[in-house]
Amino acid sequence: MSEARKRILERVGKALGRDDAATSTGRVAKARNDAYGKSTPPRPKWSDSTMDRFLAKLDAAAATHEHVASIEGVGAAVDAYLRAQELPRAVRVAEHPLLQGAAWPDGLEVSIGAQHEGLLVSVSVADAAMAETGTLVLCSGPQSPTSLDFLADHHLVVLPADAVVPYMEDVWARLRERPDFPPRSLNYITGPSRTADIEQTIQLGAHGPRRLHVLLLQPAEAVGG
Amino acid sequence: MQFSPQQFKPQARAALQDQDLQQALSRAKSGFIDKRRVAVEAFDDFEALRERGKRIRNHALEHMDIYLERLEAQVQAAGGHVHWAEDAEQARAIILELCHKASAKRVTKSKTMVGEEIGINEAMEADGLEVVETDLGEYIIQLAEEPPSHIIAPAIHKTRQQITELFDRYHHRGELKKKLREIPELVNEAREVLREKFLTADVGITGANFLIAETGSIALVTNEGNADLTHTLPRMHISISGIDKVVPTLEDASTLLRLLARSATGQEMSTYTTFVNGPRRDGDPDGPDEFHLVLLDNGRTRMLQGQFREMLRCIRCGACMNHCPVYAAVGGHAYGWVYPGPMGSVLTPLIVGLDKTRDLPHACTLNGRCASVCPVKIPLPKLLRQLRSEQYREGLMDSRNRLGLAFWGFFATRPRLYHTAAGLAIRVLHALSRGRGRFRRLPMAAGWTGSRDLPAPSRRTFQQVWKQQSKERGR
Ligand code: SF4
Repeated sequence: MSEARKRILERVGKALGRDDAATSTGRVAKARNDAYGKSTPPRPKWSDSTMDRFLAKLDAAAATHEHVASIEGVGAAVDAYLRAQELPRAVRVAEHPLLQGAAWPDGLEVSIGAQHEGLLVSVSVADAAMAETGTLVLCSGPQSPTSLDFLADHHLVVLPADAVVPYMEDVWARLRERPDFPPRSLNYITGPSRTADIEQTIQLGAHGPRRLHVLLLQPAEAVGG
Repeated sequence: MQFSPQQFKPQARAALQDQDLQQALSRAKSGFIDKRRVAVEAFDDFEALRERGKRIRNHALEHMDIYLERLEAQVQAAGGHVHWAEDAEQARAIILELCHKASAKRVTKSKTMVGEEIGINEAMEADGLEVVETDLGEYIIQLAEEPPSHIIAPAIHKTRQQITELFDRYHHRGELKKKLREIPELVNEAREVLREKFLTADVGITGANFLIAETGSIALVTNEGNADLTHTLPRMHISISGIDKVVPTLEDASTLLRLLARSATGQEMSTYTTFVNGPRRDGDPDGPDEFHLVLLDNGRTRMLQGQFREMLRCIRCGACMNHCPVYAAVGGHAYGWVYPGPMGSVLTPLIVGLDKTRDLPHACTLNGRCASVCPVKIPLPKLLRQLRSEQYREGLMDSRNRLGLAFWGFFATRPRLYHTAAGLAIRVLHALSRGRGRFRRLPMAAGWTGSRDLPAPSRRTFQQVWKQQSKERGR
């Protein structure tokens, strides 16, 4: 269909009254700068700390959270969550280097990697989070199967406190530094799955997780700061 | 896809008399409006955000060729394939061929308006494929064999009772016989039925909310998570998008996402916003083996050229229809094609032709609410007026409207005569209303008084009142 490509781009060029000079990369960048590119975009503002804003918005999005003082503590926290929710003691865990430090309690069945069928509880690690809207950011890759984020009924996400930034633009700045950026699937997740397709009434757990629980990895001395 | 935009008037009439539809519409209306208002008020300077959104979209449209080529190069660099389609037929052919190549039997779909626009479901079904819509609203109307009636909430016209009946018929072979089931129960049942489809699909088809030139990313926004299961689980992911969706950078997409979520559902961020970049990579534990992006023109380059370019700024948020009194009265199906409400009344004639959509530019009271809520400041009433004058120029207005306009024109260019005639008519109408101030019925205007009362005029014309008041002010 390269004929179609040629004709469409020709029509676009004609509609825009193109002359070749206008299409140089430098000119386009300048046009963008002149139109809006130089100013900071209008964004939500808040007076609390970045972390307070993040937690308040996380809560508003119907997600839950708890503080965990160290990565070793993640194992016990996950186990306690399963008991509290009266779930079988089994989890599917992303093959993330950070999670290798978790001390999984005896009797808790831990399996690793992507899984498609019969997935009830999954544990993954967030690459960033933004305070603006209480959103977690997860990048697909060997250390983070996307299916774990969407197929489980309960999605548990470990979030290092220093990965929380104010705005979406800050997330981009942080992730752009990675060599594998952008990943195949870059997921912004704000609360558990929901639908309002029946009578405009919000119901959680449409296709994705029914519960989203954040394990905020925050060294004890930093809590409350 | 049924196609009947020519039938707006009879369809609107039928819609006004449909009790179920009226019940569903009255519930929906205030919900969307209130939620958007709260979100907009919570944002410091929403006006500035709209202005930036408008500028981003204008800049992207003014450099569309450059950004499309950059996008294409980046998608290819990520291991994906880009296909170009001039019209619906070419787009369908490309997608069917890809499905053949993948030896597909079952295809899952995440809501795509462009998919509706090209009638992809019918084409795939005719080709023997099983097509499953996975957005709950789309799934419901697929069972009901109806087109969507809203671009964000496609089953907004369905009551819970109707959904209960549909699920009974399709999930329980009509044996359940329960009249009305609870919402959590219905959602859970759909989740189970569709989960099995997700896990066994060969191809997943999504739309694209934005295309990001800088990175070759496809942005997908949902609340249910169905788009992510659609692009992650099958062997092949096909994304279909209009060429108008391209924007320069991820930062630009961020501004537009702030506008989209607030304008569409009153959320600050939809539950899932995903940027997809090509197929599964070496070492990835999941994701499709192949990724294909189909870029569709279908009238968009024509719009880019002329006086309707502004319409291409549209980010498909649905706010204009949520705030439209005509849409609120008749619902989306009356518009007869995939795009309803004010944006549809402009887009449909521009895509399928003015001659096939005579009534649509008139399905508007020019009250201006749509333009005042549009996140990218599209002057919808102005564009509708332009369409009306195009129609008039091309001789496409029906004879009654032409006659009416000619009649009005005759008097309007003769002020003395106009005043005398208007003064006479107004006294007659006032006397006819017998002082009650409104008419339930009026000869030759049953279409108007059938669904609303016509207020009776006062005894004097506007010009008479104006003269009187200026005289008083002058004293
Ligand atoms: S025309 Fe404006 S308000 Fe209507 S759907 Fe498009 S962006 Fe939204």
